[in-house]
Amino acid sequence: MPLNIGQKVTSELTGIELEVIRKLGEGTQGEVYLVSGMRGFQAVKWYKPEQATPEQRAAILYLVKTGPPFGAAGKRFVWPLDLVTREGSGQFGYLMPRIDTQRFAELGEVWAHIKPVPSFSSLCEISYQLANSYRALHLSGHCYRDISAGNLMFDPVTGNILICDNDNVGVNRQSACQVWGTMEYMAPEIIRCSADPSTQTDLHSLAVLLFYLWVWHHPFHGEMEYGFHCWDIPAKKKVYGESPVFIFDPENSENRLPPDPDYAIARERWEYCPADLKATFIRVFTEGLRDPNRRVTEGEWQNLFSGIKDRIVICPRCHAENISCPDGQIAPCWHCRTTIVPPPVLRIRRPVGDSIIALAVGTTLRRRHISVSQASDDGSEIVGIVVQHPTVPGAAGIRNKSTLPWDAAFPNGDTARVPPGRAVPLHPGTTISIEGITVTIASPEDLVKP
Amino acid sequence: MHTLPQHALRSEFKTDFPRRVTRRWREFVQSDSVRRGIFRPRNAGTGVDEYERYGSTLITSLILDDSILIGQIGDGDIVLVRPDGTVECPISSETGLVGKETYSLSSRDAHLLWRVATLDRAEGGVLIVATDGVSDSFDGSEGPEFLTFVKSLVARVQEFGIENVAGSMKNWLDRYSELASGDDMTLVYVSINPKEDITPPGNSEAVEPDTPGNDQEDW
Repeated sequence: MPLNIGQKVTSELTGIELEVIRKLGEGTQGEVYLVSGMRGFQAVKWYKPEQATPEQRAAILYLVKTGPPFGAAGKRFVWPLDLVTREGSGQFGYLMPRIDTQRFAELGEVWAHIKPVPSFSSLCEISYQLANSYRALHLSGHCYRDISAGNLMFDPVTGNILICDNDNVGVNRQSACQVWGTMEYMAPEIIRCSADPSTQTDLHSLAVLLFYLWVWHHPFHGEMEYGFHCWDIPAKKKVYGESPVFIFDPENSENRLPPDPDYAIARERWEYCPADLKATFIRVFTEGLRDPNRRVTEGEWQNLFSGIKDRIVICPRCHAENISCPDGQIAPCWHCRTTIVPPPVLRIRRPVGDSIIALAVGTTLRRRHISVSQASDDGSEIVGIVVQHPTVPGAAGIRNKSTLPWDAAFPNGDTARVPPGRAVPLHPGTTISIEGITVTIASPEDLVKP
Repeated sequence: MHTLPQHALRSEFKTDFPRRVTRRWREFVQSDSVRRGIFRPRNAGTGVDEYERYGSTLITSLILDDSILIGQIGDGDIVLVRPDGTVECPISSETGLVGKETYSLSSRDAHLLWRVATLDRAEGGVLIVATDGVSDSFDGSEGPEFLTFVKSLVARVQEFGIENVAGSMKNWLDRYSELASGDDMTLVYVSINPKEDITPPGNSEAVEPDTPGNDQEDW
């Protein structure tokens, strides 16, 4: 039975009584209610009778005891806080923080124009945080098993995310699960019944979700899906599991987008994707389909989206976001076709590979740019920021926002120590040593030189 | 052997229904326009214009054994009144549009503009589906006056029976249109039996009912 308004339920471990205020929504496993108690307003997911099994109860208690992954990456999980029961009933639910649905959006709300469309910058942040959080979850030994757009909420402006419905999280390759995921997000081997949900199958679901975020379309919805008049379970098994073909597979044209209005948005948004993102999607939905060991890892996604965000350049005419190439070059504005002069960049040399940041006033150098982040850390700490010179118009510098001094070497051979709070002028050719990592201020022309 | 979870229908409905129903609508439009000799070849990739003359909002619902599936594109209202008087508005009226603008099946990327919801059938209730002209005659979608009208309509049916209320409905709606929105109106009333207890709704032996919404103190 669902809960009634005004009914009292009990937070099992703390013994706190909670009053049901109103129903917030209804999911596939149960209803979600707003409740009030001595800790203010919170939310309770109340399972349907058929879902309120002893196994689910044990799973919730395990999650409550374990807690979410540590750090910023873990805080994005709307994690079960306690088991909730009702006197005289075998049904149960779990307590969780309340979500600010005014601020956080579902992807469907963006599609329906109810919430704003995220900018490229926000989309990069959403994608980065998704990969970062699932990396932390997987490193903690757990798998999610039901990654889909239905479990993601995001702030379309800042790109901050929340991952909901964490009650299906379990120990990788060990725990039983009541949910097998949403079929269109399932890894092919699960649909073919040759594998159980795991961190490896999560990687496929994560890739499908990222594709949905960027392209607003399913990676396998092409001619094959279009040809099924009856979109039933056998048809889905065929398209998602038995013979999946990526709609943009460069070597297999069997499943291209049909010339139908429903597919126009996918074609259009695919063209907005930068080349390195397209290449990664192609890899994960071709090689990654054939061999699950070749799926793109969360760390690779993190680096990719962090890198793309760093290459965003604002069109001086229409202010549209454009993404420069890894070599610093940039095509005419996609929106107004204005030629954009490539800005100076910060080239960062790290053992894992070089990266660049397009520089403009306000651009930030973050911890993740200069060090490999820990599982629990999202690397968002600001280490440096580009600021305008206080008296010289048009001149800018990068200010040390860290707690340690930098060492700068200028093109004329001079050197200087840059204590926290001081700035280095943005002169091409200047190199700065930051915590053992060398960064160079470069003009785009410098980048293409051998 | 893995089996699909019991709740799969609901999640699959949410992901598939908008795309499939929009496509089916276009197939019917194309078939009709060919039959009438007004069909123009599709402009691949952006071919939306040929559908504009057929454009329409749509609210749909399918009542199943244990679930109520709901989908909506464009304006209009769908409200479920539970037997205990609780009112549920499963589809938010927020559309992101200004004034009387609305989305339609002929809008670009219509398959993305649907809003869908699934509800437990549970104790059943009354599902009321109405075009925007009805709520605009009160204080708009999810407005307290409109919801009071909805609840009083349910009370009228319970008191006087569905046939008597249906007989009076045309006059009521015409009056609301004259006094307020001026828009045309359509209202659908669906009585949903509890999940297991199948009993006939309403009392058809009652007398001519009063116009609903006039005695709000009943609620």
